[in-house]
Amino acid sequence: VTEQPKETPRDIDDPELLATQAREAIEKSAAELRKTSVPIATEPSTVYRP
Amino acid sequence: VSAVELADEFCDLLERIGPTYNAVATVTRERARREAARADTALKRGDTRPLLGIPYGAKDLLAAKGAPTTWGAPPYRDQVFDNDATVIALLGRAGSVLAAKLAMVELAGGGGYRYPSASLQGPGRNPWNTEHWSGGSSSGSGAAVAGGLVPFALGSETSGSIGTPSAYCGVTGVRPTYGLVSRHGAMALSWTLDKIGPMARSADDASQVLEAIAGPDKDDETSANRKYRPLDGRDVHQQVRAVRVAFAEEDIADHASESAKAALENGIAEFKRIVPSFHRATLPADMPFGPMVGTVYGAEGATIFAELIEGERFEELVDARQKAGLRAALDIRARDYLQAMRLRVRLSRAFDEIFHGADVILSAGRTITATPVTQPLDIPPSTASNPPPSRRPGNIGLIAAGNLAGLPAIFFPCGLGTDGLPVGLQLVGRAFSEPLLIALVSAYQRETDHHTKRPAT
Repeated sequence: VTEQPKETPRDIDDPELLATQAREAIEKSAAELRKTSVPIATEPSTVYRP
Repeated sequence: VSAVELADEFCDLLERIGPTYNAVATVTRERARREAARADTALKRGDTRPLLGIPYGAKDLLAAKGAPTTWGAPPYRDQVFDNDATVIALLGRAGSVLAAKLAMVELAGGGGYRYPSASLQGPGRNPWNTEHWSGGSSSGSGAAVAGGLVPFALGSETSGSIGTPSAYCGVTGVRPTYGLVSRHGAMALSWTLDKIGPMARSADDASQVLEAIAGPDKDDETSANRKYRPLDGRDVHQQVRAVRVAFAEEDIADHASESAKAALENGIAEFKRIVPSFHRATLPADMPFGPMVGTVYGAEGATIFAELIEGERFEELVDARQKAGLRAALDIRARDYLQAMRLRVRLSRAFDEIFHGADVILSAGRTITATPVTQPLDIPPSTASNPPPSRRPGNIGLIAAGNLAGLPAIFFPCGLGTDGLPVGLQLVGRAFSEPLLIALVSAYQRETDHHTKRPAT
């Protein structure tokens, strides 16, 4: 006997699912960045050359 | 053979074989014949410039006057510029012949695509096995060089887009130091990360191309006032032997796939015979390279393409995940982007420390061979820049880290995996150390023949 799945798995390319995952990925990245220490005096790198 | 005959020969190849690999965006035959005719005239005068009359292809994010420049994306399928990108103009000045615009992942993949098919030309197919991907985002550049459709190509890298197709296709690619090569006339994905570089059959070929395209450019604000000149041949051997190599054995021991592992280990052993001074050094283990680079190109790319993302043609993009990623990236917070930029400063200092005790860092180009064209690229979710915690990180984040720090790299083949697909290594050096990186790989390629191997056609 092959057990049948109880519900159809969600399509991994469903736009709504992808949108949710994309937002979650950004939040996860943000959390990783915020927990990584950097000396308070560190200025961001810049490409501006006066 | 004349340059015009050579140009016709390569244009024929690009038209006939290019579609097999989905490698070609446009064959620029008329332009190629014009440039080749000029090369023939120069050759008759006794001109000996090394690239004179040599055909090449350029990633389709580089403007070429009068030809379509699609950025690999359906919304830009009809885009035509009336000027050449600086690198195209410089290669023209060196006598090279533009034979084709080469396929790429749409918008260089800045939104995070799921499938190799995320391109106007379809999935980049690998000449070593067309059921496998040629890598991205410089997909056509890798495939066209590996498949013998052009002697060399131009690619670009924001984070991995020269390295991955070079590794997957078995070609030699150079990611120049940020600012060494002008980006004027190139599609911008990330102002602070984008680089343009050569992909070729050997380090020596890549060197010729880099010499032609590197240098200051008043049209590119980020252009450095530097040129590239190869190391002087008289003392190269001694300089190469004296190089100190930083290496972390877990890059291969913990991360290489079964198919790639033996070839990578063999490549390291071969390299050690040429440059014997190895010692252990690793990137900081607490730095999130993947989130850093993703936040930077996400925020910059979404800003660059905001009008597209919020406009009517956005839905024409091919890859659903890429679209979701670009939309979401519009909302990356300033504090997170700036934190990533601050961490880049810390990362550069960490590289400085490594380069006190070493001249180069050696690692796998990619730890796997090319994946099937139907395989989602985000499944399994672990990537080189985001390794699972059960494995020692070593320098496996080197592609993301090297790009964040703006450092040069060279990717070069070191054999074939057990699946018959190419496997390669990478070297990363200090800013503007391209002469040393290229000399090292040139020395490796004089002692090995991996770079001469060609896929069966």
